[in-house]
Amino acid sequence: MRQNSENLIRLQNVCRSYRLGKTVVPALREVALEIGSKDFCVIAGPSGSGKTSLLNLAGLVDKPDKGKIWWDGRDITPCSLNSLFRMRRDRIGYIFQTFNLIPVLSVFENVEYPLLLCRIHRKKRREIVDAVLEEVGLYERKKHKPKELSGGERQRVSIARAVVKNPDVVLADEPTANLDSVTGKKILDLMFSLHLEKGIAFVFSSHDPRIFGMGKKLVRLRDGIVENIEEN
Amino acid sequence: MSFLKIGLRNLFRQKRRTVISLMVIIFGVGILLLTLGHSRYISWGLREMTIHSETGHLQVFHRKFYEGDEETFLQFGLEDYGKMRLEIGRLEGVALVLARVELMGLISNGEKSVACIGQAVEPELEKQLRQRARLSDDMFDPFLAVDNMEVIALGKELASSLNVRRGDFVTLMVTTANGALNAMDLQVAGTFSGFSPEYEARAILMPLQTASILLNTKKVRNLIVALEETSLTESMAGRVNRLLQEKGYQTTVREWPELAVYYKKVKQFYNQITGFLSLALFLIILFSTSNTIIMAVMERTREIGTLLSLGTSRFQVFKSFLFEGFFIGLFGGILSLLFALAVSFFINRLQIILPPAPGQTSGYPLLIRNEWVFFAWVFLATIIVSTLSSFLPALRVTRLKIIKALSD
Repeated sequence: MRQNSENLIRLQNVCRSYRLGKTVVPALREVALEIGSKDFCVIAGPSGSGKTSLLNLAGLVDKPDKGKIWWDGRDITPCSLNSLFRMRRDRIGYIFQTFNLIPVLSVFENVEYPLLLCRIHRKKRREIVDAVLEEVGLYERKKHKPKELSGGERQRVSIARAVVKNPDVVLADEPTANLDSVTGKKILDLMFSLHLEKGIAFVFSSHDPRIFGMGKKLVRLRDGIVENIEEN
Repeated sequence: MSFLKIGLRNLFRQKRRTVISLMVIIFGVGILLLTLGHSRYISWGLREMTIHSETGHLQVFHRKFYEGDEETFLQFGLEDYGKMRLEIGRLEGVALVLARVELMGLISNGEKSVACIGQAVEPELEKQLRQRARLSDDMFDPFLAVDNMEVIALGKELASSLNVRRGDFVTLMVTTANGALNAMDLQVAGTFSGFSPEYEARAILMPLQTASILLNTKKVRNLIVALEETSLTESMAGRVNRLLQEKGYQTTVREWPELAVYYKKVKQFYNQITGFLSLALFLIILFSTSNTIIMAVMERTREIGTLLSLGTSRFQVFKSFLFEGFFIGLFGGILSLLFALAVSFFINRLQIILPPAPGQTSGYPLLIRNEWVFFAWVFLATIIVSTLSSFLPALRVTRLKIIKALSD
């Protein structure tokens, strides 16, 4: 599924605004950003700064009002979101703030789901899922339902689900916001180890200054504008 | 794991709601099956009664009987019916062959005369015909109980109107086959019931042998052929027709569905009722299941957003909601069939007699005739309707914006 490219995602002067009643609220203004295939990038900023909007655009679940989005050097702005489901399926992993696990599926099945979409053979799926669950430390709990897990465990399932298909990039929207600081740190450590081990690019948003330093790249957003980009 | 499995698990996520949907289907479809079963019983019962008391399976007429009016009574009757009866009776599949003549005239007790209609029959054979369908056959007993053949049986209302009872004498006046008037004193052998008071007020029955003397003819109107199986009707009609043609008889053979006008009307009436009921019940199922799926879509909007962002195609999400509708139909259908089977079993055992229908003189049993063909069609229709009912809510999924769904 992985395709090697230095510049994986390029946002070129993208703007995005939302309508709230009669008011149009700009979420992103002329944002230009490049995400490489080896990045471990933090999108930092206070609430309402446009972090989620930026991740949505990079993750192909939303379209910009203006500007262009390039994936592997290909301008995907003209493509409809529906037609981009294969890219989302094969190349992007998502981690949500509220975990968003499927409650009727077990831990194993939640992690297996992206592989089901990729039509991977059952036996092979089992091998991959078991290995990933081993990596995130949840192998013993694979038969449990999400409601039987703690917040940290749920987020680890969410991470396993995101990396199981070996995507180019994992986008995580405030992955530690619903967790205590110790668990949050463990989650970030896990993400970083997976990044190193599997070579998957990670882009995650946070408003917590304590974890800004964990990224190799720090993108500061304020009021929908990229304030600065720091490389560690 | 598959989308089918996910659909199945989602179905039992809101157990109470799913159970209510299933209950609607079970009672709706169950009642529909019971109604269909009862209407099938009525149709089947009426069919067998019509065949074994009126029409037989086949009737043989003189060819010209259906081509034009008779100038004299029995002009187009069957003359050599005895030989014809023997030929037909030899065919495999033929159970009985009976002769009949219709009668019309005036019946009098000496003080009062009443117009009457009826039939001259062969009592022993008519009794056998009715026995083949286990119909009550006592209406012919009065004839069989007496040696004297100059007897008549009257409809109950007619006997009451003439104030006569068994053993009394009445005079029957008819037009003979050659157009003259003839009358005969006949002893009342008994009375019989009919399907309506109007019929009972005019109906008479008498032995064919006596009628031949009264009508001054050896002819009969037609031969009634009863077959071993009703399903043989069409093939046997062809065989009887060919046989009579080969023997040089000027006859035509009619099948019972052409002659059973009342049966056809009743069947049509029941078909209309059950058709309307089916439509109403399937609409209820459609709305009920649709409501369940709409609620599921609304509750799971964020989950749908997650599935879409994970790369699930809209068609796959659409399909998983269709599967939910399909499973509601499948389980509802199976449970409805079991419900209908159980209830019909108990109803049939209870032997309930319903009050007489308007214009009828006796009640009829509440019996359910379960036919697998109906079960199969209704089961299939339940699954189709239930799956279709999830179509529109599922279609809504395909229009959801991912980011809006995720922020729900």
